[in-house]
Amino acid sequence: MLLRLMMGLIAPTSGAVLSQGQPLAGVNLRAAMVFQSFALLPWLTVQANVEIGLKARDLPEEEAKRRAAAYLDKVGLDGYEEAYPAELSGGMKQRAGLARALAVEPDLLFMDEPFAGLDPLTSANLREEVLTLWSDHEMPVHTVVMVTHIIEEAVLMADRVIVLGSRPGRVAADLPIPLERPRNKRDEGFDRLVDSIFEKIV
Amino acid sequence: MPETRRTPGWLPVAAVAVMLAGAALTGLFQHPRHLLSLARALVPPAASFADLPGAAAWSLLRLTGAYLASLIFSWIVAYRAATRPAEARWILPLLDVGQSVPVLGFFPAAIYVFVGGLGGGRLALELAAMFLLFTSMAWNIAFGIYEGLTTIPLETRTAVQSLGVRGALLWRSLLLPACVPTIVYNSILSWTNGWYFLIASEIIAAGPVKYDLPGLGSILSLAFAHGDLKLATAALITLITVVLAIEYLVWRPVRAWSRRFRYDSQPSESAEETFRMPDFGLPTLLRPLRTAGRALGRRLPLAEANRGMAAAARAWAKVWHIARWPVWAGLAVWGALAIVGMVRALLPPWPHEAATLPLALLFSFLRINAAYVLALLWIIPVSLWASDHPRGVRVLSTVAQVGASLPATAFFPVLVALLVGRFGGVGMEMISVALALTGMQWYLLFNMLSGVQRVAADPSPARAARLHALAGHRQRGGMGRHLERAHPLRVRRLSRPCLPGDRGRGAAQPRHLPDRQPHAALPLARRPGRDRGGVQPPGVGPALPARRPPLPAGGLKCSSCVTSRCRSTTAAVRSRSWTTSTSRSPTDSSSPSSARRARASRCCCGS
Repeated sequence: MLLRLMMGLIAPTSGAVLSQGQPLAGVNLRAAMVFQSFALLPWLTVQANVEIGLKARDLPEEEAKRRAAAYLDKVGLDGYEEAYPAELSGGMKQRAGLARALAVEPDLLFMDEPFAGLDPLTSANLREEVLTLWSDHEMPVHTVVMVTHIIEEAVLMADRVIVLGSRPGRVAADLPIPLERPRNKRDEGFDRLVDSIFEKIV
Repeated sequence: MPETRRTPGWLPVAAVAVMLAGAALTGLFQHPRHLLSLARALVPPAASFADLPGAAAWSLLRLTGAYLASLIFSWIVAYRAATRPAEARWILPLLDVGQSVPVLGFFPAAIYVFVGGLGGGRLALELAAMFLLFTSMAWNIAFGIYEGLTTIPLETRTAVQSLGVRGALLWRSLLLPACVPTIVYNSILSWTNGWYFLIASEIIAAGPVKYDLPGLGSILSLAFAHGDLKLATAALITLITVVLAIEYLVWRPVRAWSRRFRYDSQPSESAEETFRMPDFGLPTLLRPLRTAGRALGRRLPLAEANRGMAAAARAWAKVWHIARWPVWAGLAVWGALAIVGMVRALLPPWPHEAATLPLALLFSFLRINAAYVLALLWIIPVSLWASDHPRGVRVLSTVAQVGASLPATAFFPVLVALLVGRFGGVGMEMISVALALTGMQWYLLFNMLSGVQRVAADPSPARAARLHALAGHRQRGGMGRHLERAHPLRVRRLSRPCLPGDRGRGAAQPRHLPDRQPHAALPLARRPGRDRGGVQPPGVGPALPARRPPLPAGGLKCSSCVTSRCRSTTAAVRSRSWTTSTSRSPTDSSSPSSARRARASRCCCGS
């Protein structure tokens, strides 16, 4: 819900969503989303799936093709451009979803439990890769907002963790994660942060 | 790479469309009168074998026209219903009612508008026939499109919208493809429906005047009326040939192609299941055409056209904003006048057979129930068998398609000869039930097969049940439960028996019976020929005098079922509106991960 609000897909019933100081009118074109269910279109090839957002922005076809291929390459899907989503594994589908979001070169990236639909090993790998991509300064993405249920994941990846209470969904806590990057689950203080967040949730 | 990609199945459809367009164009260049005389030459006073190909072509043309009109109508209606839940509340029940009223119920409207309004010319009659066929095809497709649109997974829709996709691109990339599987499936049903009603549609009777349009339906009824069984058989064979040809040349490839548009498709598995028909070279011939079309599409300024259309839509919205009140007022006045006219027509004196309506309603209801039970008696075991035999499903769906295409009246003389001679009045009753069965059973079979196919995509539940070494009857019960759980929609459709029943009923009243057959044995709702004491011309639909209120016999009779179905649809609407997240595939919705996901998205987003 919150991500959809920030994306400009639904209007707030009260209050306002500000983007760069301006209230959002319609879809936030400076942002892109990644989904738990990958949400790829099964009738399009991976390449065409990535190109949709570019076509919506009226990019010339050649440019769209080039850019989609470049981002597919970045997420490690080169060679799978002509495959259909059904032919890919879960991890590869999420990579395609990531490429689709990155290809529109957004400032903001919203991730809705992006690793929840994957097996533990794949999700650990992808987590690392997302962090690598994010720290890559060629990437246009400045800010990533990720929704997760896994506290370790939040502590491992985020600079700032916002805990939402359930029903009504209010902000229960807002804490910075001061750990050095690259982080490790065995780092000193990691467990302490996880525990403190866990207490806030309970 | 799945082979379906290399043989684009829509091409045969495109070919038919192009051929039809070509035919229409050549027609345009010729003098219309010449075309009409050409057509008149095709209506022989006494049909012969040589007329069959031409008749088949005319029928096919009419059906294609009606089908295209149905597609356009269905898309507009279903799109509105799917995007505006408020409108869905009245659109869906209306569609339900429309589906339940048999073609004959639309006769008065067709005659009034096309024959009365446009004059009784050939073109008007053709349009009337197409309209009647349209009324047998459209509803189903509209439901299919509605289903396709409302079952787009929420995340998929969000993903596409979040990328800023709007307008024509949204339609091309999401809305149209999402509807392809249901459109294709329901189109097959609609076509069989159209064939079934061919006889009713090609004979337009307005009062004492009767027009036969050249076509398989009219030849069939003509042949039966003259007792020419040889010609009738030949016409039936032609009909079956055409139906089978369409199945193999159009629907098979299209269905294979449409599999790609399913969210749960697993090409690796479905590839070995798919039975590859030789494609008769048609796709190969048409591939260059497609390439050319694509090249042309690239050169066309689509983005500009898109923007232009958006601007036009905005302008239209503005105009509509100003003009809507006068338009609504005009419609309201028109509607009020229509209601006044109808009430005046409904005022006494009633035609005296009106008194028999309640009893007739009861009898019809009982007959339909009998047919329903009979149909289920053989369809459930057959479907259970088919769930274990994918090959069987294919054969059965072809059988169902042919069976559903055969007009019920075609069976009538045969049944009469068989039963009435032996059992008298009871035989007549049996015929009535049997005719209702002809319309009903195939529809049930279609829906059961569709459910079975969806389960088959799952790891076969039957196999799973065997793995658990369940006893035979337990296994069967488990299957049934599985079917119910996994396919609420299909099961819901099974609870719509009055549609095919009505379909049968409309034609099951023995009004196509030549007069030498015994009429008196059956308490029918209306027997116009007998009541007027006149002689009903053989093979005539219900001759409706102008002042008679438009009360379709079958339509009225099933009103109890209509309302119950409306209720079920509204319930379904509530659970399947745009705003709720529904996952499309049954396997998905029953899997624990999606339940978890649903729970997760609720609490994490705080909604």
